[in-house]
Amino acid sequence: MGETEERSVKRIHYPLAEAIPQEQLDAEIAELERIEKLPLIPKILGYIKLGGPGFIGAAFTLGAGTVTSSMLSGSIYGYKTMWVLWFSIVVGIFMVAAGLRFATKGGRIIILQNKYHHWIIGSVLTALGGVAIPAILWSWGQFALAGNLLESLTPHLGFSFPRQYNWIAIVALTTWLTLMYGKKNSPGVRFVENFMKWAIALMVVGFGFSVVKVGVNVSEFIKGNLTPWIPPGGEGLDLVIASGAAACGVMDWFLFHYTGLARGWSERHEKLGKMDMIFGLLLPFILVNWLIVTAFAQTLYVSGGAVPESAVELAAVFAPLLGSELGAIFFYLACLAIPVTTIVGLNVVCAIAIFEAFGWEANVDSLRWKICALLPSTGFLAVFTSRPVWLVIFVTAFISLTNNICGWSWYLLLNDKKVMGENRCKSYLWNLGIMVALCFVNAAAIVYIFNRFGIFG
Amino acid sequence: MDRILDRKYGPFSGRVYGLILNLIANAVAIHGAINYVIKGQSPLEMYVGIGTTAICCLILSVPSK
Repeated sequence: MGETEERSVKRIHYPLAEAIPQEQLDAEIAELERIEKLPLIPKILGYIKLGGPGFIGAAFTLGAGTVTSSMLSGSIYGYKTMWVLWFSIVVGIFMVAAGLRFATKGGRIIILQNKYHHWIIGSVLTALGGVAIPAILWSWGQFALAGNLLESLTPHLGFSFPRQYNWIAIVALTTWLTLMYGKKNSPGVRFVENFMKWAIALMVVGFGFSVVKVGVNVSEFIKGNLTPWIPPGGEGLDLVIASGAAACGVMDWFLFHYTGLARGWSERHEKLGKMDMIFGLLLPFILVNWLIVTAFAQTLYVSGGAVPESAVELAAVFAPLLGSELGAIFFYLACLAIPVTTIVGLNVVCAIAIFEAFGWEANVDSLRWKICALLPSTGFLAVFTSRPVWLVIFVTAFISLTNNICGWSWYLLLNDKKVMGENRCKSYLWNLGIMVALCFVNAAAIVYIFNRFGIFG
Repeated sequence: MDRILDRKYGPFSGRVYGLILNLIANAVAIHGAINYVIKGQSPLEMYVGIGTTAICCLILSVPSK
């Protein structure tokens, strides 16, 4: 496992990719060769059509935490902190690119980490501690947000669907999508990828509709994106470190790497992967966040009133400002797409991580896979109760302190001639981007320790 | 530079020691930033941390030849 094998082109062996017929993989490579010869715009559209892991990554990264943070920063700081959004994801992209290189020309990252570093770094710190356990825990926030948003949306459609019951619909939809991923003789991976694409389109249309209604202050928008303003005092430090670390998480690198492998990406797919990273992950992430921040900067920030702290309360204050039922419906649908897609991503990534950690051959038809994939769905309990505080503290501490070690491991593997041979990183700028990303994950660990020792005051 | 980074010194390569030094520099920068921004003290510690971080990043970015 982890070695490249000869089919029609060199491809890293990953069981989920076996569900894709060889003819389909070969046809995709032929299509890639055709696309590469097209003019720029048709070429980009062709790459977007063939892309997928990037869209899964964007839909996954755009979760409850991101939407809350964007709503809050728009409401409190207006356009001023917009630069943080694109800066943090651009920094994170360098690590995602490392995941792509491993997927197309290196090997399965956990196997590489276990072999060349230690299983504690690969299986324990990256797969279990960095991905699977947080996936189970973070899903609570997604379910809480999805349940509340669905409850808020349905009265606009003329009926009531309280969260005490609507979680069943959310679990049913996310479970169906999760269990379809990687399944043989079904649309499988491509169906889930297309669902993510449509969900992102819904977010863009929904929030775009809101922005059309409330308008844009173009000069403030440009200024906010180009001027690296930070709030004064401790808030500024918190904002920059938290935003940087959030967009640089191990889960995002891991997800892109393994969803690329699940698509059967080979050495010939690296260019497609790069385009998918830009047009599937980077731009949708920035665009959706821009729209959310703009919508709230134009309304709650301008009004200058008290700002609620949760996304649901913020949405409830914002929706009536749109002045129409249709606007509110679009807005709530766009908001709802955010946690739903993240839950699917959490489910898939959790199963992949657990199987990789224990060296099990991924088999989506097995009961073991189904159980692992649905562990994050226990987050539906958020509708009835809150997460155990001790568990949140423990997992947050673990992630804060270990994410940087995982990042170090990826950087070292990417630069190791013995591991990557001629496919190692040969770009100074790429390494520099990775180093900046590592500084952010280091900072998250340092801030956690400083907080524990009361150094933050 | 890449030879120095990729050579082993004891259990680890130069890159690993560089990453550890970078972590320490990050901690100094953040500690200095807290003292400067929140407590109003001298920014010297923050500048030392940021400067060392920048040097570490610039050196560790050199790829293996």
